[in-house]
Amino acid sequence: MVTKRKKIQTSEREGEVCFFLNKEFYTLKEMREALNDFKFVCEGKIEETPGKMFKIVLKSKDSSKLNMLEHEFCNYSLGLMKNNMCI
Amino acid sequence: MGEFLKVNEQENYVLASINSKIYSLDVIYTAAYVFLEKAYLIFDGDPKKEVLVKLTAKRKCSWEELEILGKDFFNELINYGFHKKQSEQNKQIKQIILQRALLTNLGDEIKLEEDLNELEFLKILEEDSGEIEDPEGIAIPWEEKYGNKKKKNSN
Repeated sequence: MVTKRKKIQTSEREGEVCFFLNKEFYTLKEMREALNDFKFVCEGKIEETPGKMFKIVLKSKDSSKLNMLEHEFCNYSLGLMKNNMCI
Repeated sequence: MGEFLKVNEQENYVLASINSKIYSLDVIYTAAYVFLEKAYLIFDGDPKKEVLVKLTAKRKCSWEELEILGKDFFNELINYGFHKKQSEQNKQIKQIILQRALLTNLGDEIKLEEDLNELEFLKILEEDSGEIEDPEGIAIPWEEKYGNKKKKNSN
């Protein structure tokens, strides 16, 4: 299933969530750090697409929490970015 | 408010559209940071024109609650925007106060060093005092030199 919400895209397969984040607002460094911190909950990869979006694919170990995973990942990345801005 | 906030009750989110000429990106990040506990946030748009922030509430909310969430976000933007403007205006004063404070501490350090040097000099003097010759008996305390004589005279 692929859903498009005004410029914010996400798609879900079985046990996997794929979404796009804007390169202007999210940095690769923080997202990699977030992915590393999430390694006990999920596996995933970040792809740099030619456009202005990062493609993030997360494979959850617990498929019941798949919906939350995307959002939690985004929040966590934002938190890391804010922390680094403070320092 | 419809121009800036779009509420989607079904999917439990509110989409805030922010003019980046009014609020800078760091102000938007700071305001968003406050909402990390209440909502899930996703950023999109163009940082030079319009920033879109999608706030998905963590618990199921009504239309009104979602609208309040969006309005609170805008309030937070104003709060941090004002804070940034004020701190920019007071930047010079802050620098002067900080410099003054640092210089005061530096002054104390110099004074402390002077005190330590004086203390060391006094110690050296004390150590050397045993070696100084005193043929006239100047260094002998008054009580030692005249105390016994006075007692004898009074008797």
